[in-house]
Amino acid sequence: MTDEQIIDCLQNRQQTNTAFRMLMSKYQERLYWHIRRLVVSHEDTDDVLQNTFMKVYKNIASFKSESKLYTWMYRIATNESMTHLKKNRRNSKQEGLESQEDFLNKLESDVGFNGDVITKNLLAAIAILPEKQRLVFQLKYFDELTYKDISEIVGTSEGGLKASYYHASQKIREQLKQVEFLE
Amino acid sequence: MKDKGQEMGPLEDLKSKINAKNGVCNQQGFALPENYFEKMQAEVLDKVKSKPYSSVGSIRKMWIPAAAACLLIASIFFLRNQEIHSSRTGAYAMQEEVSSEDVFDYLIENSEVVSEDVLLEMNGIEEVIESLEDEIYFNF
Repeated sequence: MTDEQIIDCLQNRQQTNTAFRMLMSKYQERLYWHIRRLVVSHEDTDDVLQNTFMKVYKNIASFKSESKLYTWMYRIATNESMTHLKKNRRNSKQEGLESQEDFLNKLESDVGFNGDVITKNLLAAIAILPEKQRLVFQLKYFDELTYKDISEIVGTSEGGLKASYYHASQKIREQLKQVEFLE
Repeated sequence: MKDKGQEMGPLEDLKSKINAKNGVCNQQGFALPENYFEKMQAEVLDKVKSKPYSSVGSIRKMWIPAAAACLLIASIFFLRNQEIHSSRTGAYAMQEEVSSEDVFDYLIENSEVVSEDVLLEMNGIEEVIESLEDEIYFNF
């Protein structure tokens, strides 16, 4: 089923639930991993993903096909993740960005994480990037989205995104060189 | 700026290595509980069923009476405040217009009607009587 067909069914009240189930099946994995890379723990990811789908369901009537359905959903998921992270930072009274050490501790204490040392260091290097660079890097590097799609999600020009990605890559390389995972 | 393709080489190799080690692309060592997506779908559907479907149209329709009600309440509040303000201003104006001499005159003229107790309970009556007595002495 195409996205257009799913949208038509979602906007027809009699088919809403079936169409919504189809929509979730189609995008749940991509959105789950996108959120998981941002918020790390499975429990938090579950909350954010459920909120994302609830918002999609509530606002699908207002969705205009000016952007792609999945970029619209990615945008909601990204905003929900950022809101969640900000709330957590406020609760722990933490100012600014998480330190690399804090992030590594979080990864190590997460029972749902079983990555090797290379993965751990790559994720830690990504975690200390400025928020926007981190987001752009993850969408490009892991989700392999085009700059055009990322532009729809983040609301930045493609040129700006390319520069962000380049700087993020440079910083990650430097970080990984320091821990001798890259030459 | 250097060629981005060359710059990305080592990081792309790293991604391939990580994906090869972790088996499935995109997971980067994060584990996922069994049957998670089935459970998640069921929970989300339960939640959306418990909340009635509201289209944007119906929300917009709700805004109009809500905004009208807010406007009405604000106007009533504003007008009431104006009324209180003007009545207060009137009272102050009256206070300013009535001098202490007028009060003396009134009390003297109506000394038979106003009882002694009432006069004693009135604030500042002592000063009134004293000034009245002074006036009498000086006039004699």
